[in-house]
Formats: sequence, structure tokens, C-alpha cells
Amino acid sequence: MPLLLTRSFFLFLLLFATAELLMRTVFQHSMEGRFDYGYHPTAGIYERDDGRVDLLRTGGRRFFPQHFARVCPQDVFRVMVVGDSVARGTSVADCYTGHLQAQLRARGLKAECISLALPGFGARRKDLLVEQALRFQPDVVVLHVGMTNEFEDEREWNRKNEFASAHPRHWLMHSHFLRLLHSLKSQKVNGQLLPRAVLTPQGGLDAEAEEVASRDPARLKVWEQRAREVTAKSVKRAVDAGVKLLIVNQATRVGHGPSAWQLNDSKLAWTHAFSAPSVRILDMKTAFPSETLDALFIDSSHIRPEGHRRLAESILAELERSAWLPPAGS
Amino acid sequence: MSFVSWQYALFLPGVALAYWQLPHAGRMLLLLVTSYFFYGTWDLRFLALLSASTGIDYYCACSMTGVRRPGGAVLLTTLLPAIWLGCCRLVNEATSLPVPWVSGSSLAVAAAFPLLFTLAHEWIWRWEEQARRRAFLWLSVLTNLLVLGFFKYFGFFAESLVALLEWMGIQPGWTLPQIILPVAVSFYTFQSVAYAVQVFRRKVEHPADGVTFAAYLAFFPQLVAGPIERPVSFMPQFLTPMRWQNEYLREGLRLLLLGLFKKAFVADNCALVANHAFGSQGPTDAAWAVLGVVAFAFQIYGDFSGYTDLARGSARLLGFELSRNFRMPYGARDPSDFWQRWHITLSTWFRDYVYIPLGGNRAGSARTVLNLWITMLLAGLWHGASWTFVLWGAYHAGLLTLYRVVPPLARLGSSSSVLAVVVMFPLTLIGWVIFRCHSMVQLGQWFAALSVTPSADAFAKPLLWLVLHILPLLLLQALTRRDQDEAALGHLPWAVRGVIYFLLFALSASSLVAEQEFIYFQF
Repeated sequence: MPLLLTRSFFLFLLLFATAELLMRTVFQHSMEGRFDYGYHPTAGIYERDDGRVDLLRTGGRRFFPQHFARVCPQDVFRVMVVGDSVARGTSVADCYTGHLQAQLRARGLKAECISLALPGFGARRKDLLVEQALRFQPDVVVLHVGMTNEFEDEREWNRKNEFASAHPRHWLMHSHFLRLLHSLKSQKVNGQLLPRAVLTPQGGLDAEAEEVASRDPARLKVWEQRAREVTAKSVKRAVDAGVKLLIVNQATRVGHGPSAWQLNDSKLAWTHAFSAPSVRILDMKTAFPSETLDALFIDSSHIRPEGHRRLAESILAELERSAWLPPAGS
Repeated sequence: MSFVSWQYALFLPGVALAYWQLPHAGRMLLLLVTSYFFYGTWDLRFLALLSASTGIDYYCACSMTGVRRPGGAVLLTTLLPAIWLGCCRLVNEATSLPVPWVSGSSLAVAAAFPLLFTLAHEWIWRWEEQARRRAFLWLSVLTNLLVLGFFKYFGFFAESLVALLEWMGIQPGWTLPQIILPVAVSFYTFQSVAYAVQVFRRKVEHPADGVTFAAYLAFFPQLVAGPIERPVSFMPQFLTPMRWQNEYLREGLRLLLLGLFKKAFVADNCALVANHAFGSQGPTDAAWAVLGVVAFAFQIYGDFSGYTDLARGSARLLGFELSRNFRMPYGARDPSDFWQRWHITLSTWFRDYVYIPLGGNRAGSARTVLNLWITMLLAGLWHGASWTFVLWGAYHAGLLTLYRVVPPLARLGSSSSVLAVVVMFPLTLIGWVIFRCHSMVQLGQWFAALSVTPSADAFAKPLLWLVLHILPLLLLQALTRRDQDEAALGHLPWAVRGVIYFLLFALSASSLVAEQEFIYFQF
């Protein structure tokens, strides 16, 4: 009489259990937050035993890899930038975080600027990052505020909740090993070997849904209200922690053709209500003269490295105006 | 309910557990109920069609075996589809439940059908035995073909006629009805036809109780896309009470895993490239044209043979053994060999019920070629109501003819050289281009793209991607190449099998995304 299950089946189970155990121990951090869709509180922020904090590219948050001391040294002026793809740029060195650090250091300051900017992050997910940033004693938090990612915030929130439900369709993906395989497959194999056009069916549906949603005045109103409330919460966090907060208002390029281009941030006028001694507002459009828009913008929202450099200069000027900078050489 | 869905992952073990707790009669009833539930998840209305077809075949088969059922029972049983449709309509109108609407004309046809069938049944029973048996055979066969013809081909032929008339300058001004193609209709009607013929030939024992027969015809693992089973080997499995064997679980799980791998990893991934190449823009250059068709070749193979493995695995858990449908088709040496490896149960059906009755190869070369063409054109049309499928059938008929009448090709096909496979594979791919294109215009676009020189940079990465998704399947097949069953792994050492199971599962899980429909469900 053959056995109910064979030795090969038990070997399969053993291999699977071993792989799962490895994932839950060795690769724990790289998988953190994979199915929290950016809503995991600490995903990507790895506090090591030696007192160092590593920012990692994890399943849930794809930070630019950076590291810093958990306890900010007294002589270091620490700036943490929380934002979306506009603030993120193409690298730490080429975004305004990197330029700001270079400009501060050029003034003789021992400055450390850290980018916590992540693509597609709207107010709710940025607030989670502000909360984390405040744990590491920054002197200033720069919060890049925009209204272009509220759809994604909402979509990812729904996905997170959907995945967290007990629905049988997610049972397999509760295995860390299978999660890793799934993300390796979609990001490393599909993402790097196949052209975007081949992978667009799902992306196309998302873009279409966003397009439809962004034409719905009721949805826009809800998003604006939520962004306002959540940003107020972020401001309160910073104020309560005694950390200075600089809000950078995203400006969007509007108009047809270079000669007609203008910058618009009218949807963010509400941020000025947060202005206080420890909260400053910087309108991004004040950093960019209208005749240079073609050279500074990649598209309607994202800016070129030169744009980042100019924005860093404006931030530096604002810090100076607000007397938030320590004396040079300190 | 797709085989690759969480619903099915709960449904199948539930059915299997309940099944083995019941006595034989209870098992048949359970199979019937669960099969109708399974089929009803696509469209509740078409349960009426399935049950109508079952009713006709059952009473015709009873009559062919000399068992006369009372007219009242025939009328009441065949009225069930109409009652079901009426209930669907009532529920649709009275509640917000997701039950589809049923038109008045459908209800009228469903109500008229039992009367007509009962009258025909009673009338034919007055005939002498030989004529009666033959009449019931034709009644069963023609009703099934009528159902298939109406639902699958009416729209196609009507539209073609309208197009022809318009081309001739006549504006018919007809409003053609929009007919929904019921899932699986091509499969279960062919199985029904085969059943009627075998009962007529006294080759199969017809069960006395309707439940067993209905469970046989609606058996959920193979209802939707085959394999198209032969009653001679399949019906006895319903008539003989089975006892649980541990083998059932082991073989069932192995087949389910293989099927999942072929569908989720091979087919659904290859679909990304194939859908892009055959999308609305068409392939941009020769590289994408070739990549697209190679991807489609492995998509359709992984999809359908994966479905078959899942069907066989599901059936095995219930103690049934379904036919093999594939045997490494891309290793074929000639077109005839290809059809002995691809969708075997369909090709043998056409061979036994079309080609051989037409005379097969017994009436000279010219007649053989004509028989081949008729068979292949019908096989093409079976796949879908479209001229591209007819062309696909004609293409394969042309290949079969060429390999038969051109001596070097015939010699090549009958040799065991690798060259034969190397020549046959591209020919198969051209067939898949015809099969995949929705229209002649798209077909033209594909061939036009072959003349556009590709950029090597843009080609290399997708090619590597495609190889990564095909290679595991080819390696797996290399391991089982000596076996008749391409899903057999039993001869390998247990440790190797354990590692293979692990890899297959891991690869499948890496690609499990939103539920993807099986290609052959549309046929």
C-alpha cells in the first residue's frame, strides 16, 4: 500500500519551510512592508545595534540607500526631507536634499541632509514618514506638499486593507518566501527585462482610473480636505516635538507651450494657515523665474537637477531668513 | 470559477472530502450538484442548455438501448430547463441578486422544446427497432449539433452573409441577434455526440439512472475544456463504485502542481509578450513579430496543457482517470505527428467521427486529401467562428497534404532526425500566427512587421525574459521525454522529485497575479 504522501512531498515541505525560515530571519528587513503599500510605520528604516540607522530599499518603501547615526551628534545640523517623487529626484546627490547638504557644508556647517522622499507618496503616507523622521532629532524637517498623489495614497490604502483582510486570495502571499519571489519576479525580472509598454495593461488601468477620479469634483474635494487635515497633523507632530518644519509647496507647470508656461500652486494656498514661528512656508514657484521653466522642469511636476539646485538655494535662504541655521563652523 | 482561483482551491478539496464519505449513489448526486454549481458560476442561464442537452441524450440513449421511458416522465424532465429559466427571470426581476435576465424568446423556446421532444419521442417509439434506434441516434446528434451551430456559428454565418450581400450591393437591413456563446458548449456537445454514437454501436453501457448520466456529462473537472472523453473508457468509471487509494492523492497533487506551473508561470507570463505583440498596435518589427508568436506558442500550450493537467489532477482526487491531451507537441516531426501530440482527444474525435466516416485513407490519394481538408476545415471552425480559424484549419490541411504528396517532406517527416523537428516548429508557429490574429488585417500587419529590421538592443532583454519563462518547462519535458505522459515524474529519484516540486511551486507562486482566464474556455 503506497504511503498517503511520499518522501518527495515531505522534501518539498522541508525545502519550503527552510526557505520561509530564512526569509523571516536573514531577509527580514528587505521584505518589510511589502504588502503594506507604504503604510508600514518603519519599513525601510533599519536601526542597527551599533547605533546606526540604515535607509533601505525594501518591499514596502524604496528609499535611496543612506545611513546616519540614530542619535544625532550635537555638532551636526540635521535636515530630513519628506516628500514624493518631485523631492526625490533621480539620486540623493542630484535632488534638492543633496544640493542643500552641499550648500550648507560650503558655508562651513557640519550638515547632514537625509532624503525620506518616496515616489507616489501623498499626505497620509508622508505623515507616517514625518513621524519617523522626528524620532531621529532633526533640526529641521522639510515637508514637500503637493496634491498629485492623493489618488495613489487612497489606492494603496485600499490595497493594504484588502491584503490585510482574511480573504483566501491572499493566503499564499502571507508567506515571506513567496512574497520575496513575487517581488523579485515583478521588479527584477519583469521590470528590468521587459519594456514598459509590455507591462502597461495594469499600469494603464491605474492611470485611467486616476484620470477619471481626477475629473470628479467630489473626489477632488475629499482629497483636498484629507490632505489639509493630515498635513495639519504632521505640523502638530513637528511642533509638539519642538522640531522646526519647512513646508515646500509644490508648483505645477501649466499652460500650452514654453512661451505660455506658468507655475501654479493655487490648490495649496491652505498651507499658509500653518505658518508659525517654528513653521515656515516656501512656495516652490518663488524659486523659479518663469523664463527658465523649460530648463528646470522635466514635465509638469518633476524638476531637473538644476531645478533642484535652485530650490535648495531657496530653502537655504528661507532657513537663513528664519534664523534656523546654526552659526557657521559650529 | 477558474481552476487557478482561490474559490477552486477551496471548492475542490471540499468536494473531494465529501465525495469519499458517501456511498456510490450519493457520490453521483454530489458530482452532479457540484458540477452544475461549478458551471453555473459562469452564467446561471446556461445550466438550462446543459440540462436540456443532458435530457435529450439520456432519453435518446435509453431508447437506443430499448428502454422506453413514460412520456410523462420525459415531458417533466425536459421541462426542467424552462422552469429554471423562468426562475432566473423571476429572481432577476424581483430581487437585486446577480442573476442574469432571460428574454421572452428564450423562455418560449425552452417551453416549446419539451413538447416537441416528447412528441418526437413518442412518435419514434412506434417505429420498428432498427429504424427507431437510428432515428434516436440522429435526434441526439442533430440536436447537439443544432445547439452548437446556433450558439457558436449563427452570428458568424449571418454576419458573413450580410457582408456578402452588401458587397453585392444589396442592403439586407437585418438586425442580427447578439448571441452569447455558452462556456464549454463545443466540448460537451462533442462528448454527447460521441456518447450517442457509441450507445448506438452498443459499445457502451448506458446507465439506468439519470443522475449518473447527468454527472457523467457535466463532470466538472473536464466539463469546461475537456479532455473530450470517450464513453467506452469514461462511463465505466461512473458505473463502478470506487474505493479510496492513496495513489489518487499523490497523483492528483502532482498533476495539479504541474498544471498550476504551466498555467501561472508559463502561460500567463508568455501572455504578456504575446498580448503586446498581437495587441492593437501589432508588432513593431520582425523581432517583436517572432517574439510574439513564440510567446503565444508557449502561452497556448502552457494554458491548455496546464488546464488539462489541472483537470486530470482534479479528477484523480475523485478517483477518475482522464485522457492525456498533450505529448510534447513542439517536438513533432511532421503535421500528422503534431496532431498526435496536440489536443489529442479532439484530433482523435475528428479522426473517428469525421475523417474515418468520410472514408479516411481507404479510397485513394485524391479522396484522402479531400477528407483531410474537410476534417481540418471543420477542426479549424470548431475552435472559433471566424475566418482566421477556417484559414488556420486550411493551413494545417495544406501542411498535411504537402507532407503527404511531396516526397522529400514525407521522407523528412518519417525520419527521426532533429532536422524534421527544426523544420516543423516554424511551420507550427506560422499556424499560431493565423490562429492568434483576430482578423485578416491583423494577419497582414504581422507579416508586414517581418520586413522591419529590429534594433538588437531592444530585442535582447525581452528575448532573455522569454527564455527564462520557457526554459523551465523545456527542462521539465527533457526529464520526462521517454514517457508517454508528459506529466509523469514517477521514474525520477524521490529527492529529485522533491526539488522539482519545490521549484515548480516557487515559480508558480512568483507569477500568481489576478485570475487569468483559460484560452480554450472561449471555444
